[in-house]
Amino acid sequence: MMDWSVIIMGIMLGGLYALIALGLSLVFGVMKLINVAHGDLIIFATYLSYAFLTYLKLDPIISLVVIAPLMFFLGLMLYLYFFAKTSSEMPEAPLIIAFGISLILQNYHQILWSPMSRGLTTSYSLYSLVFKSIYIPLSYLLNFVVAIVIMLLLHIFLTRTYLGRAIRAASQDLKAAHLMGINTQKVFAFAFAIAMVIAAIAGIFLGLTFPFNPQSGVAFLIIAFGVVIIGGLGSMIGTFLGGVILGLAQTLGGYFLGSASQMLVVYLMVLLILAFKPQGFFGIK
Amino acid sequence: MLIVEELDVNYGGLEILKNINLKIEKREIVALIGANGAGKTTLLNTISGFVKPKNGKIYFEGLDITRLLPHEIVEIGIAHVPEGRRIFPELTVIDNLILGAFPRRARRFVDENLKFVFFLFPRLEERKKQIAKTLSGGEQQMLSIGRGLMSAPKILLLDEISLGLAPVIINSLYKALKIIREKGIAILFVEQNVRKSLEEADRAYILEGGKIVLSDSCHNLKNHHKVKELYFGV
Repeated sequence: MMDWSVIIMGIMLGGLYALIALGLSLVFGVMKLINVAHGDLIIFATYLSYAFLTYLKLDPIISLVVIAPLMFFLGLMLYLYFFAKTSSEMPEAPLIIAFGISLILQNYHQILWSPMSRGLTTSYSLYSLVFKSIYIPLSYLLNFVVAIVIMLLLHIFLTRTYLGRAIRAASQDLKAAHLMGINTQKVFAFAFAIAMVIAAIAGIFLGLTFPFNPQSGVAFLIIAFGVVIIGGLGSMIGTFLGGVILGLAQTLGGYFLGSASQMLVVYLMVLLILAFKPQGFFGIK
Repeated sequence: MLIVEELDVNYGGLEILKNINLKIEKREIVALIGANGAGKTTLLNTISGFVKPKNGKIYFEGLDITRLLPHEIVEIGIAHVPEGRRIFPELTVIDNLILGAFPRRARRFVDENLKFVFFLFPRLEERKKQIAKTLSGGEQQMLSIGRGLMSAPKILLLDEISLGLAPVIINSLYKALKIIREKGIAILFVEQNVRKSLEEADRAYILEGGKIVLSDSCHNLKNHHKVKELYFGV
């Protein structure tokens, strides 16, 4: 008989994957920037939380109170002083800068934390809930709930507030946005900063779920791309379902083919979707 | 209220506008007439801050606005309804309109201005939940004008609002302009149809090759021998 925990864990893991991809999707959707440093920025937040946990015994989720504003500020600075300044010079520059940020972060993590694998180990990160024969790690359940809450909040922000509407407007027609009196540079900086806050949240829950090392950013960037390819860019529901499909593919692949080949199923699926439905299942255009 | 003084604009090494002088008073409807490439759109883009002039000044209510950025110019009360409508295609009608009220000054008047826009264009109220790209061409133009009005402007710049629309719709748009003027808003519009422009405006400037060659009341221009010769083929 099929073990139902595999399916439930896959769905819940999808929440984490959606969270990881959300910032990437937001930045690309709004300013057409492929932020290849996204994975490393997530891991940067994970290591920050690790530092708080190790040296101050601060709970990772509580450490978000400090890390989220820090990442917000970092996002503003990165956008205003690197991406905005260079994109007017040449359109490829932001991509190269993102590569640079990615390399700098990887090496900085390597130097500071050594290549050793680490984890955010708390009293609850290894705790599991058991219903009859179904067994769910608490961290997976947290991932799922947090992902849904963050997506709802982002959706409300983008559709109900002036700033959110301005972000969507600027992504659709830059000149018309100017004509509405929108300072598009400011709005883009803000969108990037929000993506960084989401990255921080993703980073902390990632650390509670998986071990991580200085190279993990690349692996999670690939997962984020996979989610976005499956779900389609620019669609929140797509990102969520993309995450769930990826999570399921990974846990089911692991269940049937053994954990060594679980990512193989994920990448094969991404490849097939790229070949036959390159716009994803829910993407616009 | 709007004064353009000895304006020269270069673009890619070409002189697009030469020594432009122009003045618009409160409640006036002024037309900018000229052939394709005469510099009409460039003049509007210069007033709204997208193009920076080489020489000359632009004053709005006594304030030098020549070097202000586009979003700062909207903030002081100049709304530009661009060529090709440029509505936000993936947003709803109501979201497009609310974005029009993005300038801080305009947010206090959102309800009042929304009521006015829906009074002018009842079709927009019927379709307010619809995604903007699904509107007809005429409705999109109404939305673009309505969105401009939401910024609580003192002057409205309109670029080719009748492009590609049926005469019935064009007439209703121009009728709306008369009502907008009654609110004390000045209007400067660009139009290719010379006859229509001279009927709808109080005064007009005629641009040719980046220069103003004629400017007068529309009544006088209609009877001007040069206008008759050039545009009416008499």
